[in-house]
Amino acid sequence: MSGADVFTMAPEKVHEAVEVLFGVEAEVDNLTTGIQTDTEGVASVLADAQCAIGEALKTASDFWCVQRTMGFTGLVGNLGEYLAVCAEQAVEIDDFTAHDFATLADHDRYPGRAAENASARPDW
Amino acid sequence: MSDMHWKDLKETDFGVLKTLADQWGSYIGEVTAQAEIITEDVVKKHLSVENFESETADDVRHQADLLADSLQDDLHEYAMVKIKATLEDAHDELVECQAQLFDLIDVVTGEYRFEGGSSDPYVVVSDGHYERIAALDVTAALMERAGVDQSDFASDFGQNESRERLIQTAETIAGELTEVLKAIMTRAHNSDDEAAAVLKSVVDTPAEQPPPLGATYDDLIEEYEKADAERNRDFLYALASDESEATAGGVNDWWASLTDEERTALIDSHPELVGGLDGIPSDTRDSVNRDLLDASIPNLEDKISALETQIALMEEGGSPYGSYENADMVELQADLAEARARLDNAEALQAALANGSDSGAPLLLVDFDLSEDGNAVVSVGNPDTAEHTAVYVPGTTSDMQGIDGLISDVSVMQYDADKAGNGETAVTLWLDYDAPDGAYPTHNGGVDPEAWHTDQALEARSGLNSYLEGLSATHDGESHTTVLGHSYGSAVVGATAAEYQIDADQIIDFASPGLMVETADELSVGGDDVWSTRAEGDVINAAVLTGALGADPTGEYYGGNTFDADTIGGNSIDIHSGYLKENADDEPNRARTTMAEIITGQKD
Repeated sequence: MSGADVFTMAPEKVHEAVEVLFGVEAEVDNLTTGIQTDTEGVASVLADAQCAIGEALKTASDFWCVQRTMGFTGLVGNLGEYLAVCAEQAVEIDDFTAHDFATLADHDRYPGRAAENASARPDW
Repeated sequence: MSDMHWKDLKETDFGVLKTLADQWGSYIGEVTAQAEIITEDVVKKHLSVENFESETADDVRHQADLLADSLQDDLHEYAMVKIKATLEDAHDELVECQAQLFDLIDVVTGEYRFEGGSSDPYVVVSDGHYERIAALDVTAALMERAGVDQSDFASDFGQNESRERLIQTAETIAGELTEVLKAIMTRAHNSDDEAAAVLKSVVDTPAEQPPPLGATYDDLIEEYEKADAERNRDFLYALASDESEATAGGVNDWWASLTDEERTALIDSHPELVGGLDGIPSDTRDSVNRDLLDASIPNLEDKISALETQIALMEEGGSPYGSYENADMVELQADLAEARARLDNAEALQAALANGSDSGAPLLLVDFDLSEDGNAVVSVGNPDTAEHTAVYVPGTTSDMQGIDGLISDVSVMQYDADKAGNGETAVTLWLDYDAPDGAYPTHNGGVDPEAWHTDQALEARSGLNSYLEGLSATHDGESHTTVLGHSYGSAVVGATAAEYQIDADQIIDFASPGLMVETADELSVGGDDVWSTRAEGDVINAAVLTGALGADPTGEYYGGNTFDADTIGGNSIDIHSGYLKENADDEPNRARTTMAEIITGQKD
């Protein structure tokens, strides 16, 4: 761990990290949408053939694509949004709230991005 | 539950399962690459300490690592194992069932037809077949089966009787075909249901994902890491249990998927499980097992001291004392004897390790057990990195009290192989079975020595197979592996290679009483890769003649390869133990030379 009194940051590098994280978030979402569509097609064929695997495949795919992957991409987005705020203003992790990305981040740098991941956490 | 009708099995294109499995494979690769981008581009590059340094930065990097790790764990556990592998298994099974159904359809076409629902399919005689029987226009096969001859058609009575017999036979055949159809559909339903059960199990108690950054993050991350560590521990317990169906390759995959911190935590909390698990790298097991062995000696000494004190007090006072207050003297004496035997084994093993190898190659303590006669797996050289690996199974009377000599034997083999060139060689002593205590007919006061029985070889099979599988999994790149057995150890090797498709390229047996097979081709490495030798005058000849442990591997009809061994020793018993010793008058030991050539892949 770095010392509590040490704080150095290259904001541009942090912004670059944010862009990578948002890119990962989008790419995983995109890839997952594709596999979910492919899987649903096969699940439907098998369900029509009275195979138990049809419905089960849909269950597994929904779990993976909706719960696990969206959970992951949500966390990646959350991390990116926190870093986007950090690049502008120091915010402790425990103090990060839903409004911070919307109000503090440089939105010219991340156009069109709503603060959907930050808003997943309430303003406790 | 599967409601698949035979028509569904016939008409469904199950190739979609394989295509989808391949798509999941590509997806897993692409998403894994995204996880690696987080580690490489975000953590190590843009958010490196040079660019971002503070406690918060440490936490952010940690969170990013956790996200990448948890995604990769998820991809392995859910996407790879439970979805992709299940799709592949279901594809293979259902395509096989479909092929069987097509074969059955070919058999019945025109004469029989399928009826019934998904749960009660059956086969009946077709209308057309009944009509042809009525017209006595049937195949020779049906006539033969019905015991009907063309000459029976000469009279009306004969024709009517023939029709009845032909119908009865056709309906009997329909009943037989029904059983075949039911068997095919049962297999298809079972594979469908099993695949469905695995797929649905993804929703069972899924692992927690890391918490998001925000309020109470510090508390949540602590809980997450605690739960994650518990999950790893539970998995380790499951892998190490006797009921585990995991392969050593699966263990290796799981171990590789853990972070360094997770591996260290498991080693700290459960070294005895890590040290004994095939599939974990040999150098890791060596480090863990040496610590366990070192710790065992003072622990056993303390235990012995406490037991001796307790027994002395009981003998003096005639009444129980201390922590053993409910134990009687017989139980204490048994505990003491066991503790002393364990200590003897521990000291013998530690001394042998301290002596090192004759060849100077490092010794790795891959596994050990101090109970009873004691077991140990010790490698001369690192089998995970050596170009050639040999696994040596010793025979009758091998135990921990003779561990020093056994390690010397494998040192000799390793030295010979290194001298033969063609790359680095490691040779492992695999004494992880209960070797027979005696081979002579004086054991147990009768004529029934343990070495004349197959029990201990059969018991050893799964352990040896698992070790070889683990070795294959932990080896860096392609491995070239030879498994050797001396005397009863060759029966262990043979029994294992007959039961399993072992992860070894070739087998060498020397001084063998038999490999528990009749021909070399029964061994899974194939007869061309079995090498056998026996020296003239070896006492084992007497055992070979009994055939109790299989055919003579040096025999004319065995089907393997043989090579020469010199007679080294003054009597038949010494000759049996002389194969790895120096030959007289500085003559080369031909068996050793040939074994080194085989181990290093220089003997065709």
